[in-house]
Amino acid sequence: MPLIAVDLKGEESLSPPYLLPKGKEHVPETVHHVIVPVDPSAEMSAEMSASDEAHGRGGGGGGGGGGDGALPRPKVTTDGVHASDAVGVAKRGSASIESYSEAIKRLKPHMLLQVVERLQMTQAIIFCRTNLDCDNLEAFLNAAGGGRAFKGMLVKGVENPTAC
Amino acid sequence: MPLRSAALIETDGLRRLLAGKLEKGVENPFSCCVLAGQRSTDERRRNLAAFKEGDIRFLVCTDVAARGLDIAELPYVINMTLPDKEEDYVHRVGGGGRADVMGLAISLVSTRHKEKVWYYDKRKWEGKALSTKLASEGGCCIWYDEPSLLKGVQTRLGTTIETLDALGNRAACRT
Repeated sequence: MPLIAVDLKGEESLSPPYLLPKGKEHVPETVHHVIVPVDPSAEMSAEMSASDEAHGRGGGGGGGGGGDGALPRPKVTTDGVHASDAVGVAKRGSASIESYSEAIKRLKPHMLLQVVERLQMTQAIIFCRTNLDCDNLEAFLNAAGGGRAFKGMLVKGVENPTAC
Repeated sequence: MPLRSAALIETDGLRRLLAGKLEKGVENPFSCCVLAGQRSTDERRRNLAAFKEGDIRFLVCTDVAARGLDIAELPYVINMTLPDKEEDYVHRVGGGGRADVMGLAISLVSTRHKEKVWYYDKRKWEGKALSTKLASEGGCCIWYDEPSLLKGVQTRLGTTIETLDALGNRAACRT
């Protein structure tokens, strides 16, 4: 029984027909659950070429082609588990379990951006498995948003450095 | 210096500041902070405050760091990876203080393939070079079986979790 049906293919904004069965203890009934399936065997090549294109455009533009929602996609830094495995550029698209694993790591951050943009999220909590994953995702998000990291409460050069 | 003041008022941030309306998260559309065990307590407190104030859009955290978080009116929880314990899924999506707000829990799940990930005791490996061999072979990695974990979560929720098909937009994004 589906909890919620959200059609991201359509252009219209979300108008969720929430259907939730009763009696699920501990999980608030006001929370609805969806998954975004990540399947490298189906998506790997498409996603890789897409991100490479975007990367090339951004670099060539010298300063990032920053139209609305058209920021260049940064490269994903993974946890490095496969650093010594044969899943590098030359082996992209090969079907070893290691290359699928590596592809999952590279796909997910890009899919996160798509979800964020499509749902026009203003705020969210994002859970990662490890501290390293957190750090890598932080770097990726900062790069995706134009490279500037959050450095405190809107303290910018033009403002008074002692403003509070 | 009146001229300088006039110029300052024209800056976007200050104008909003004077209007009492700080547009949040303008610096970076994907602005984020990390709430994780390795950061100092001070930094974690600062990051959480910034998130609550709306100065950053995304709070990236681990299960441990998120324990006991009380953030009201949060519409979205995103799981980059499903937790290996169903209890943690429940904690993630059902955090306190959100009971009266509609929320959407979105999990990015590898539905067909396993992912090799780090899995080791920090204290035991302190100062040593990490090995990408499997833990069963004396290394620091395991194969993380997300397809199975999804089944577990679905069992826990008592239902199949519907798909949020974000990929439908890929073609549109690229053109």
